[in-house]
Amino acid sequence: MIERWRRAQTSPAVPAEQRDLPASWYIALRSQELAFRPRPLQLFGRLLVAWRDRGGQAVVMPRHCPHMGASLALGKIVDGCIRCPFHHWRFDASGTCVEIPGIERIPVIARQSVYPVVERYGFVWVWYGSAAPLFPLPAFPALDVDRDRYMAYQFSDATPATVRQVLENAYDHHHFVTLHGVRAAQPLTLTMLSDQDAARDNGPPIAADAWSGAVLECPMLEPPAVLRALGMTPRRFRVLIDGWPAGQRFTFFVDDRVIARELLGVTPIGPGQTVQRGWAMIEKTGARWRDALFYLVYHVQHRAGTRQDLAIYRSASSEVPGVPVKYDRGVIKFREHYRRWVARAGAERDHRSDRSGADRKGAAE
Amino acid sequence: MTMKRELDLAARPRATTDELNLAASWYIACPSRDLPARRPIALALFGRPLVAWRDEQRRPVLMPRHCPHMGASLADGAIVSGRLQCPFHHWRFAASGQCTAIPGIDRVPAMARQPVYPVVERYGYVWAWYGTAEPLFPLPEIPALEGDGRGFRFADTTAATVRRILENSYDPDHLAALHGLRVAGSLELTVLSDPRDARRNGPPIHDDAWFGAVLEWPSYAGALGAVTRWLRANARRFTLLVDGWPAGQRITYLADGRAQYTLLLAASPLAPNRTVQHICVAIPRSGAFWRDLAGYVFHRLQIQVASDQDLPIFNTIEPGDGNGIYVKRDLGVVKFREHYQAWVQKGTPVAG
Repeated sequence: MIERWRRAQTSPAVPAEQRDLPASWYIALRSQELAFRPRPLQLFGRLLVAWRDRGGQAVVMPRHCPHMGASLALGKIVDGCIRCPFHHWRFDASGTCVEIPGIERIPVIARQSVYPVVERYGFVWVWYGSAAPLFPLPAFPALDVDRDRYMAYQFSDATPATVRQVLENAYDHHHFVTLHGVRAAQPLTLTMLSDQDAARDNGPPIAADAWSGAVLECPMLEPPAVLRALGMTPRRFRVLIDGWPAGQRFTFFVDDRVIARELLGVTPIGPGQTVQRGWAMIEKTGARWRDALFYLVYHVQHRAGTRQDLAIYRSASSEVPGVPVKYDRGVIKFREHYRRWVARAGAERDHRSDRSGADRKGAAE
Repeated sequence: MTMKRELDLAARPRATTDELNLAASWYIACPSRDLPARRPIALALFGRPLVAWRDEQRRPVLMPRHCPHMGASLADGAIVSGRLQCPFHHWRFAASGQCTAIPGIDRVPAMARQPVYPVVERYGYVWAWYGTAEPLFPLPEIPALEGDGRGFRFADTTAATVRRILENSYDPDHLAALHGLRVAGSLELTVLSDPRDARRNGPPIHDDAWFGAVLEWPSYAGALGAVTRWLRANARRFTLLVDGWPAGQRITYLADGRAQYTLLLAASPLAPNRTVQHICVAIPRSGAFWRDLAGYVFHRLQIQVASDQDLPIFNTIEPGDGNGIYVKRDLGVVKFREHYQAWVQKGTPVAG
């Protein structure tokens, strides 16, 4: 007897559904990660598949075929449809099953629900929380019309933090002093904005009820030694923050001049698994060497700051209700806003959870 | 059983019976040669930590791994005069599970016992009954595996459930789509209603537990057609006679009515969505050496290629045993699922 023993190549871990996410736009993956082959994805604690149709449009749908449960990520794109490897059922970009070999009348229930998808800024964005998006993906002009005015880099950091922790960080001005060591002769202030017009420097307006914003001001900055050595002595520093429940736009001003912008999005893989990613855009002044040097300094301080945040996230508990003090007002306001959008996703979440059980009891044709 | 598998299973909480969706049935605990005569081994089976060992007659014994006294792992114990001795306080257990000796204690408490699983050793495997205290039917017979045929066996750990692995034999459409089988005509599946119709697989299996079907197709076309013509292995009619019990199958592959090989398909459910698929094949000898050798190589390749095409599907399939959307060609799978679930209902989980 010749014997062969082999172990499975994959882990059978079944992710847990995420129950605390706001209805919003999220980053599914980078555009360049999705080519001609389907790709397995895990988002919102759900097993999904991403692929491109004939026109190159990205499609995101549940990973397993509704027929016998095979992974569509092992399938092929045939005539602009995704074809299951197991029995060659084919699904189009709308999720409708368009072919079953040997079967003329395709059951009406043979369909996959697709997620609303937009591809922009080098990312595939997916809408979570309702069948149709409740607001369009906010615009970030620095990455389209104004692209030439910036030196840019993309960042991507995995963290066990929740989406809320990643996003509320911007409204927590006090941690810039304590954690990131910002030195100033006067205290930093954070002012929550109530009028979106005050945030117009960040880009076109965001749907009113999805929007939240703030201004962080540091009137008497004591610049770090590295900047002073470069002959840069900024005094007034201001950050304009605004965004939707799962993403943010930032404009950084020094002495009222724009020095940089950032776009922050998140990829919620599952409970305890989040990726914060986006773009940093550093404004060119035209002086090439100075710009290059400033780009480098900006990059280094940005990454150092991120490392400090990530270290906190790694060991923080999101369970602790928190003891708020007066300078936490921004964080508390943001949490209220965030919670309202978590509630708006509730109905859809329950619907999808039911689907996995009830809907699968399809009868024979 | 490797150390690695032990470790990653130990980290998980014990699975509930519901998560595994196991039919009351005979399962493979391990290949016979993995169970040495003189020392116990740790096994993960049915989502539970177990220990397997051999008594004085070398008969296999399967019981919960942890000593009922203070919980030490009996897999780290020793076999002493046909008893399994715990490494911690040297309690000794007989093949019946009864504790027979406790050092320094004259009267062993009656409740000092381990429940044991019904076990049978056959066809090179240690089989364990799961679901009720006593087996509801004997382990089915597969005479072809006891003949003088040449054989080979595979064991592949998959991320699929037992039901998904076994229903695959009753799914004719995946042969064309996944395995790329091209035949001159159509591939038909007929669910059998009389166990005697499957007698070429062996003596009839206990009525209630039995399920069977015949898959038939005409000559091979395409590349396989060319190869089989060259090997003179193409035929007018091919038949796959499948029958079995809820957790195992006997399959005979016939070309124009002549048996080409007999295959045993069975499973070891380790944990939820973690199942070993066991395949054991016997190819009858005709006496013509070169012809037998060519047949062996051909069937081995064919079975291995098919199994290698199934494994990636099993390793990425939807977790659990959810129902699907069915079309009329799924009748075999639907009927088998009903049969399997009826046997899940028959199981009253034993202590473990």
